[in-house]
Amino acid sequence: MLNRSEPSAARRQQLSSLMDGDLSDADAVGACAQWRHDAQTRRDWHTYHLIGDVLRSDDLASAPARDEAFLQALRQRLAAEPVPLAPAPVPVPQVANGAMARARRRGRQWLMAPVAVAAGFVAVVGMLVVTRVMAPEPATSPMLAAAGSLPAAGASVVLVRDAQLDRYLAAHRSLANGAMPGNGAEHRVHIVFEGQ
Amino acid sequence: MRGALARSRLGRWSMAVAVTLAVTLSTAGQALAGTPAAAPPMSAAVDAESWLQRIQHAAASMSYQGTLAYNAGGIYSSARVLHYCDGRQTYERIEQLDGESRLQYRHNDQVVTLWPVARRAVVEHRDPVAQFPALPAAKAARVLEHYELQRLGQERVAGQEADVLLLKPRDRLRFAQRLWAHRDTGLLLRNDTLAPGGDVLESSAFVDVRLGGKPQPELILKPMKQLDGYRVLRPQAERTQLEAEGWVLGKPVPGFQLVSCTRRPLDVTGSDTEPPLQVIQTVFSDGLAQVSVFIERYDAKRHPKAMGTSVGASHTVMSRRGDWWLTVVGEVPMATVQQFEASLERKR
Repeated sequence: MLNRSEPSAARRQQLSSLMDGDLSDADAVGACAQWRHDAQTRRDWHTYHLIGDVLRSDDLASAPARDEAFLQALRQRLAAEPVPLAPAPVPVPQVANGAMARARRRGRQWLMAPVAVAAGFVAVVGMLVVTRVMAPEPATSPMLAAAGSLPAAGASVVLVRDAQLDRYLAAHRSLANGAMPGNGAEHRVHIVFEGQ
Repeated sequence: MRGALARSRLGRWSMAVAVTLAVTLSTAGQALAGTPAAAPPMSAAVDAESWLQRIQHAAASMSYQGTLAYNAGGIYSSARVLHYCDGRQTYERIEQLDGESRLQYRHNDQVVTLWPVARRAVVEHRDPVAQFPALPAAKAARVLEHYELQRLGQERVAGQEADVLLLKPRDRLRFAQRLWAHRDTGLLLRNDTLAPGGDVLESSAFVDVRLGGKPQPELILKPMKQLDGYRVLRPQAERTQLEAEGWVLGKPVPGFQLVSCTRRPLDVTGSDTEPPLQVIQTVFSDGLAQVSVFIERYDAKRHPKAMGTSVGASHTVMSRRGDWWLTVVGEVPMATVQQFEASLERKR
């Protein structure tokens, strides 16, 4: 068995041979055990592979910090992901409570969602609905508006289902950020995350 | 043989390190939001505050005209803009190029929006908003409490040389923004809102731009007065306070301060048969990102069940709170609008 007391040159020689697949079974077992127990061996192993990667292609070369950064970014991204709001669990039937009380509790449970998200529990549950609201041909909307028969809702007179959302978005932008990208576009896609 | 191989590997170690370093340094310039490593050290000459002030000053004092392109969540639209600054006076004309024809004229805080085909006009007084290429008028120091400014390099945008800057959030409650500022004047030429991974959620940019030029205020003032044949609507907004309306933000969301609270019609237009829907809109800002909280009476007919939606960088949460209906919208992550929604409390 290899251990730390052995000259490191021999240890590295073993590692190098292991990489090349040249070790006997018994030696391979020993080298693997060494890899498991010795941090220095693991570092060497990583370095050897890094060297190999760099020699093969510059694109494969990366600072160890980059892996860490990747993981960090992944975690952050997961945390920031617009997670579908967790649907409330099926309410336990309770005879004493009225429907209103249940509804209120449901609302409360729904409010727990941000806490869960903040804690990093990313449960992809709930329904993801992509609603595409198509307005009729451009020529028709001014016509309808001119007839005065429809409530005019900003630039997009004929948005039906998601007109609600657009109204708030437009009002928000008009007081906060100014121009709304996509304003006046014939359709706007809202990605809707619905509770159950 | 093996010994030689091992030695050569070890010998190449230092080379590998050198190559790795070189790769890291060369990619550092392209470091995006969400990658904490490989950030270029800020050169002492780059003073974050003065960068922001320069951008704000350029938008507030320059004349420019050109074509703007917006993209949010894959939806593109564009507008032609004419902007004059004449000492303390600002004149602006924005013509929407997509969808229903729409023109917006602005003289300082006076705004007239025209829908020429529908012959509809909306006349309003509005606080100057931070519309691209302007940044919110917040103190640069306040912005830098929540964002770190990095200089990424130089690029060419809309035919102009620009400095590329990154405003990287210091926490997860906001998005990063990548800015392209005109090299000579500081005017923003492009502004991207980035997801934590670096994906572009939303982008505003000049496609072409002409800087300077002699102001011609009559191009804006004249059409603002010519409203013959238009149905003119004058929506009234009234300042109020969250507390006065019986609400309080129990646990403030870090970095966000109250900007304004108004009672106003949700739609600028409304209809003849139905009075416009009144809402209380409270705007919060961290100096860069904005969040609006809408409060109104719950109405089973109009209000769907609680849900969250997103389009571009805008995230929305809607939910019922007793007799009330809350809508929180902002160019911030979903978790942030949820935090606003969760900390709103009814006091009476």
